[in-house]
Amino acid sequence: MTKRPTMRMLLNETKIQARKYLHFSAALLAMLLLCDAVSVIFRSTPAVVSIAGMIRIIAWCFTICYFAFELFRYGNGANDYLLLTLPSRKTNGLTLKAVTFFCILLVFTLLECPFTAYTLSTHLTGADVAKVIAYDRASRLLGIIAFLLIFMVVSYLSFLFRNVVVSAIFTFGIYLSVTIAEGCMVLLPRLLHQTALTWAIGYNSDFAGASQFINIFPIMVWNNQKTGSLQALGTISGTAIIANLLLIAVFYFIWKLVSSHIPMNYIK
Amino acid sequence: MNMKRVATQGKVYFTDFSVKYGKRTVLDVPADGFELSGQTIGLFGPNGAGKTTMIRTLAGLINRFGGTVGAPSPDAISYVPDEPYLYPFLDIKQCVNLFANRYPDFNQEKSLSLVRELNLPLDRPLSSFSKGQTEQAHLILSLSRGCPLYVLDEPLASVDPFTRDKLLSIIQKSTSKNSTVLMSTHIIAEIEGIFSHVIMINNGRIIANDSVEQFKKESDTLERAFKDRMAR
Repeated sequence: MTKRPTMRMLLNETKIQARKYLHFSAALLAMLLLCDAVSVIFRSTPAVVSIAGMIRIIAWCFTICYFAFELFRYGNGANDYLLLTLPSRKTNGLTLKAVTFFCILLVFTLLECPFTAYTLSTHLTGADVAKVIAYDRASRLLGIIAFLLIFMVVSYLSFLFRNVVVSAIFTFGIYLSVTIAEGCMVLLPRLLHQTALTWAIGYNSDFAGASQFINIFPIMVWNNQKTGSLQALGTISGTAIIANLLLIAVFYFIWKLVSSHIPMNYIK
Repeated sequence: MNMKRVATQGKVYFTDFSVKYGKRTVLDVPADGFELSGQTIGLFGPNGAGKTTMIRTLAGLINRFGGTVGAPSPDAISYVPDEPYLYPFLDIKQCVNLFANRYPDFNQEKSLSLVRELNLPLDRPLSSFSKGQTEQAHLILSLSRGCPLYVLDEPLASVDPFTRDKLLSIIQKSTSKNSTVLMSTHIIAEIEGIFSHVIMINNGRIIANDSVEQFKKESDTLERAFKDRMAR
């Protein structure tokens, strides 16, 4: 009678979840494309480009906050029985939501490639552009996976608290602590007196180094002395990738552990 | 918390069972508990008595409890919650495919023939259904599974009397002799004919657990028996 979820079944369920977020995703995609188009058309007007860039960042932030909230809401009052009645373990619902959000963010990340390539510094050409794009996008995808895994674990553990406010404080508190810890790790070389490295929060619209990702948070880090070349990817890039990979490994392990050993009430 | 869920073939039992929300005990079944199988059981009680908590425990949605629960594994339980749960943008055809994809015990032909019998539109999204039609759709999908246990949480609250009779007969025909059906309801008088056994809950405690014949010896209707028990 019991059926382990098959790949086909998971695909079907993911499709239904994706359909649930279709309007939201379409609106977001339209907004991102509009911002990109405006940035390209008015490239010579810096004010317009920065406003478009700001709107892009706000749109991304809103999406991330919304997806984080949806993961949290799943176990804290949404009573989404369609997911809760999935065969096998009830934790599959949380995994499925996370996979759906990953797919949506993956599409956005890939669709942004041409725009990212277009805005790169003219110092870079051909294979170098491809390398930087591949690095930047892969780094972002790693960040997205790390972010979703952290939220899966903390959202699951937040089921322990009956009070939704306590659950929210727990979830966002843990997430923030982990992110600050990761940020400290990524910026360790800078803290260790490598003064040539400069960093700021946000995206690199004009390639002076590379966009890094502390899970989902974008930071710019560049080397003052190697600006505009592939060498500028440098020290911090490696640390950011390792930090995200480490987070993925640790939180995947915690997820396996808690989801199989800590029984939860899936309904509040 | 000392909790244990024992997988059975269809039998349902609760022993020394309790569920707490914070410090408040919402359901408390004594050590001698009760055991049921192969019957259509009515679960009666006022609002907030603990019916839904008992049902959710059986469905595997409440896993932090005290004592022992014996029931088929949650995957082998066909469960209808007390609120619509199919996404409103889905139509019945998509729902049928979804269930066929999920459950190996789901009978696609049977579900489609029940849809036709109840004249439900196949291609219209559920958001365009009335409340009663939505309930019918949920019940049809649930009854098209071949499970040892059907757990139905107030499945007929909004259905019109004519369709309700049809659905009651579908419930009787759809479930096999060995299946157990546990149904909570507040419309006792209208559907009492379907039950062979009744459990009454009040304030998280079981106040009565007997066969329908036994209740009928005390009162002429089940609703009367329920009201009498509540008044004690």
